[in-house]
Amino acid sequence: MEVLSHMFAALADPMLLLYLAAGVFLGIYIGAIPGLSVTMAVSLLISFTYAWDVLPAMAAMVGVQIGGVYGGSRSAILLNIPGAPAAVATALDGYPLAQKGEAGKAIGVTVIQSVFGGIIGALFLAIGAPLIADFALSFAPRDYFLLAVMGLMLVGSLGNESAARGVFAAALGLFVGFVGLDMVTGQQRFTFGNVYLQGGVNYVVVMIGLFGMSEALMQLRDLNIQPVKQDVGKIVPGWKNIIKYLPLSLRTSLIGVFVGALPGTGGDIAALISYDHAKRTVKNPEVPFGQGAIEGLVAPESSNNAAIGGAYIPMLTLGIPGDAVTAIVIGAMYIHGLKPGPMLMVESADVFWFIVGAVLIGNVFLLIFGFTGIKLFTKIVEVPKYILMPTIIILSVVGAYTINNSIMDIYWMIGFGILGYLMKLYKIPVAPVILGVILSSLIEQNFRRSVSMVGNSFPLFVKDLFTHPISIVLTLAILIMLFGQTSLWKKWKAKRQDNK
Amino acid sequence: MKKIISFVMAIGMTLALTACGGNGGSTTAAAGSTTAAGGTTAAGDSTAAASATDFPTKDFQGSIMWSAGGVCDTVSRAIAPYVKDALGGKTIIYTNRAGAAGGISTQYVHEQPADGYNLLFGAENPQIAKVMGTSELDYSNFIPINIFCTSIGVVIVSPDSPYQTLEALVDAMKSGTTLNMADTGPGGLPYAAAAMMTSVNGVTPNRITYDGESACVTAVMGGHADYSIVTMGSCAELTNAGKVKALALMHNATLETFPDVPAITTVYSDYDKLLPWGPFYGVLVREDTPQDVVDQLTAAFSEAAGNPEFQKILTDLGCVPCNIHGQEAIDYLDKYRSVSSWLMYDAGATEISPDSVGIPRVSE
Repeated sequence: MEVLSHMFAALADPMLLLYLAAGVFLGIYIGAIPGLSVTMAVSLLISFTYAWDVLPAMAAMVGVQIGGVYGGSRSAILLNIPGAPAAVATALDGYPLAQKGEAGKAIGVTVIQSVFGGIIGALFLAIGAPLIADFALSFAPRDYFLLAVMGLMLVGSLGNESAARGVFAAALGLFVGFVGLDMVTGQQRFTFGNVYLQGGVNYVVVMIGLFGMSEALMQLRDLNIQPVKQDVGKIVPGWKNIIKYLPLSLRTSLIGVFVGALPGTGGDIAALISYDHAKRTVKNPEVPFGQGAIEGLVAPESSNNAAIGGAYIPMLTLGIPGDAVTAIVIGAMYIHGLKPGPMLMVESADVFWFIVGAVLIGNVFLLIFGFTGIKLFTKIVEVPKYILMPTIIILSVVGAYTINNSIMDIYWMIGFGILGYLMKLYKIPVAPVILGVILSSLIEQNFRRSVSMVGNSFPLFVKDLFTHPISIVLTLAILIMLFGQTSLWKKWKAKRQDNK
Repeated sequence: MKKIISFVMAIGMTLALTACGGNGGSTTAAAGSTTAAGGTTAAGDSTAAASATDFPTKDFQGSIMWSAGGVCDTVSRAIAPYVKDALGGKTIIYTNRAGAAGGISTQYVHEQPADGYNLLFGAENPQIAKVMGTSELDYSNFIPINIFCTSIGVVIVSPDSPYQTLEALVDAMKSGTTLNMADTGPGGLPYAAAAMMTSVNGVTPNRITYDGESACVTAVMGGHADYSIVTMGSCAELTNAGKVKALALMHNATLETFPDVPAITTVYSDYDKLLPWGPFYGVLVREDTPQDVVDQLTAAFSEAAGNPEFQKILTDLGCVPCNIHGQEAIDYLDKYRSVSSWLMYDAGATEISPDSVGIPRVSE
């Protein structure tokens, strides 16, 4: 009973409810602006929540996070520019829908799926937090490596026409991820003695350049194309629609919770793995993936919002951040005199359950606010290009600068913008590049960790893959995914269908 | 009709007050729109203190050399409310400029005018930048305003580890067992502490490099590394809860908060000549900043760093408040640079001799 009263403290106090609601609302619009990220919004919030009490500060931060993760999908759908890395997968099917004039429908689906995923995340946080945290701890570096390889398998799905082009683009992304100080030896890699390159190239900068800047340049090629008239009549999807995708959203929400709960991986990787999962398991989508499949929206959107609840699991039970945003929230808790760690559930049970409740109630607000401003937003697509495109370029510059407050990042963003433009001209997909950059350090560092753990012996590393339960499951999953793409399997399957 | 007009005017006045409180800084300005709380008090402060002196006349820019959420970031931001009044009500606008182990922040602040408005919030890392070859700048190019606190390293293992004492751990390594130690890369605390163990005990672990201290602690808890040496702050709560076991402090005295964890000097007395040593956090300004500005900043920050509420936050983070400034801080930084640089060189972490970059060995 006490738990419930802490959990729903926000409902009893209108001010707390207001902070949470304002957070969600602001988060949506901050998230929707390419380059203004949730991480940034939350770190801005910290500076001025010093003077507040703990609960309002937490309410506002949780709210912004929930709103922001959803908000990233708006610009992904309308402009093909993901507002945040977690929305990269959403653009793949969302933008084609907008091109057909169905942006309203797409946004409606993302709201429902985000809320669904968010609530699943909150439920797992409330019920199984300590258990899931222990499970997440048992993930060894080799398991992270396998998980990242699984994410990389998505290249097969992204290289639309030519597999070779997709692989090339992903390799380029992996390479960009190598720039910077070598973590293990401190060796400078591809920095050419420049101090600004020591920290590497930020993947959000790459994303803004490849999606935002290059899309604007691409569209400027033809200013006279009439924008597609958007149908905003029926936005809220019906029950039938929700139930139809329920099995998929449930599966991808679970992926979201677990990937989010792993320290070191967050909503961006959860969304990519979920998209890949959807593409492999949904046999006959009404519209093919990449051309506006609803399943292509359902999977990443339910998953990245479920990852929020997931990320709070190790944070609230162990004091270990599950992603970049919860890392900042931990800092805020210290400033407010709390001690994040295993004892938080005991010593500050009110705060623990309040946060759990805030994640849950925040999603209710998301359901309300998620449907606001859709008509206004879809109008953006209809704005004349000679106004819209320069605005996008300015936003891209601002967004690139605000990540690290570094001018260097603007140059990188412009560089990647031009690169993306050329890639699009020559029909090389840009999405695998960002996939490569996001996964690069995860793959490399965890591979090196796993091999050096067994005395730099590759055979022992391979043996490890087949002797630990989690590793076996992941390895087999990857092998099945690989085998499923070979011509041998396809032939056998075709033959079997013929026999039927 | 009158009612409506007065209502509109009331709202207008509230908004104006909030806007004043925001002081126009980018951090607070973005924030100002959602909160009305505190607007009036902030406006009051700035008028009261402004007449006392002509410095400061504008807001400060604070560059934090580590990313948001870490200990350096938390300490740097936590002092803001306590130093505000002493800085004439002016706000510090914080920006995280992480990268190159602090090198990006030192570079940036050093490029700004030496007027005292650009504050560098940093940790110990730049003091080994010259021998590690990561940057041309270290704290000898800056004037310390205040060193808020130091942090202490602690050797941790999993609670069900076969090595329940430091001797057991060292003996196992001496007898030829290869143990995996989670570290954070060259120059980090685990790396330096392992270098100390190599020089004192003659044992060298197999280093597995992780992203940060909390990832090291996670690896120890999950059984993916045999041990790690991290700051007390990153594992204090987990130690209390019995999720990790602390074997020894890399310090020459025990801590009040952890009376059961022995100081490493009581286990191996040879550590006496190397300790106390550990990370520190503080605020600095560029060299050539006018002395009267430095004096005012020093007075303001030493008062804030001595505030019991701020010190409570530091203790919660596992730090030891020290509040040193002036010549004492300059000497402290100098000694720290020398000890650490030679430690790195002697342990073979770098080829660059401290002598060659003008860092003499400290006589014991």
